[in-house]
Amino acid sequence: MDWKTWKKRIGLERHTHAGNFVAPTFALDVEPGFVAAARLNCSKRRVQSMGVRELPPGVLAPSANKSNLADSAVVRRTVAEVTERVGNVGGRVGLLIPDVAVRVALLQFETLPDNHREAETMVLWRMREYLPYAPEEARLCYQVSGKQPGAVEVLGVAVRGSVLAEYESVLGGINGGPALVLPATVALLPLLPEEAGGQLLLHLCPGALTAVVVASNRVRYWRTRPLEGDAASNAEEVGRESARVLATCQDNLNVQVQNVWYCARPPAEPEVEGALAHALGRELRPLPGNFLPPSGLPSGQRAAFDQFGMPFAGLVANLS
Amino acid sequence: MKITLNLSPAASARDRFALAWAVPATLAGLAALVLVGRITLREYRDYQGIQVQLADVQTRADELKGQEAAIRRKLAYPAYRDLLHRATFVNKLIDEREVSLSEISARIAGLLPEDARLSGLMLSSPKKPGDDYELRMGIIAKSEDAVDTLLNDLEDDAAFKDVAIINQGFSEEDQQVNLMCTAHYLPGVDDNLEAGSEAPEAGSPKPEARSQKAEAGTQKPEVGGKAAEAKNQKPAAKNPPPPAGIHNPVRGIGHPRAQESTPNR
Repeated sequence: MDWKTWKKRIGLERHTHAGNFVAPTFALDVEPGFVAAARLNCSKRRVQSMGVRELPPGVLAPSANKSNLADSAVVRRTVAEVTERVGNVGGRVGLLIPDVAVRVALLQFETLPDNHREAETMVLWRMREYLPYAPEEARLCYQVSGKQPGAVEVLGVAVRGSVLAEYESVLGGINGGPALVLPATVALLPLLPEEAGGQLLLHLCPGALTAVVVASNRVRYWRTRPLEGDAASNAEEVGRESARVLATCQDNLNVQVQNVWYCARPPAEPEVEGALAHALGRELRPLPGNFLPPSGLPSGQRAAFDQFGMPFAGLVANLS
Repeated sequence: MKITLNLSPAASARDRFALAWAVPATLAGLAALVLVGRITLREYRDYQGIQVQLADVQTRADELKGQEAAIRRKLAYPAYRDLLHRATFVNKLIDEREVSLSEISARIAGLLPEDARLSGLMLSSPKKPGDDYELRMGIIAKSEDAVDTLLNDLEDDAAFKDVAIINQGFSEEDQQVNLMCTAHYLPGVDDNLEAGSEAPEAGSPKPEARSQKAEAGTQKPEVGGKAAEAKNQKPAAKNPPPPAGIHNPVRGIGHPRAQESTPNR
């Protein structure tokens, strides 16, 4: 019996079984170029306060299988500053990480075991071809998005353990570590309206564009495209990528996209938005994120929320 | 769209309840520790007490060993050594003492009246060291007076004790009394009494008591009957009466009638 087995038996080894969604009271969004934080009121489904701090370029380089933090001290200091600004009152902490750091896959199964561990093992085995690292190193969670006799659709999300540990380390043990970890785009999904028709979500972040198609409350398509440089310099590439996604959904998936929802953090230049609308031939709609207190937020926080706070609004919206 | 995803590991039961159970578990551990400590202290005190007792016993054993060595040194003196040799010799003689059936037969024959005879005699060895020889006798007498005389003589004789009648019958055809009795035989008692007869001059009170008992024994036959009277008178005619304080020498094998050949033998 080796040391790992002993550690597992006496409970020293941290098990990799992921949990279910829990509502955080304090959330952090760590992306290349900025760190955003928000204090959430879960019972009233409101964003109580909001704050953003800029990250120097090159400090955070998202990757699925490489070290993401070039200078963890800077990131840690930035996290501490934004946390102090927003005001951490304790409770559960939510951590949103870049989409590039995770791998998302849509999987089809004939059947899925009732036992969660067995099902997780099966999903991980199917996701191994999407992972640029050994499946044993992955932290996995999955959600059954559609279930019919003989067909089970699963949305699987995996992140390398060492990569996630880096993000967890910069929290500095705030409130005992994160109780919720999600890619930022997943946090935006609850903001999409529940309509039968296809909904295309374009999430533009520094260094990546994520396109998600949701139809009938099922994720039908997911693609994260890493980008070099800022959005303005990649306007054409972003347009082409969006048009490719739209065509793929209509041609291969037979999903007619009715709305195109657009979320750029930080807000992109108007010409980028125009190029996207032109490439898609659709109007770009902003995500509905009216989860603010009746009295509203202070002007500075309101602007930060409008520019960076949509994922926090999604976390609040998911509580319904 | 509602999501249920979460990449953070689910808190296990250990994570959730570890802190809640920490205080009672610590208290229970402390209580167990105190209990074990008290038990250990008590055991240690018992151990110390036993150690002291053991030291006392060892000291006592050493003292006894010293006394034994001193006694052995005393025994090594020439005077004590001679005494030891004598005592050893006497003990050896006592151990090698043997009982002669013919001697017993002669002794009993000396006690028999004229109108009684010995029909059977059986001697059983002691079953364990320290016990007496058990004697079983069959007597045929012509009258009950002869039987009484014999029993009285047996009881008076120091070599016999615990005389008991097992069976007694009367045959009308022969006009005879059949008697079966048992007694314990004490070999060497006669020798002791003879040795004791020399003691009165030394002033010892015990031999006097024995001599008085012996005198009382000689008076009994006078109360008994004519036959007993004749028996007591006969030895008196041949032998002078013994001096006071001396065992009756006419008893047992020393009785003059024991030398006569009788049909009872």
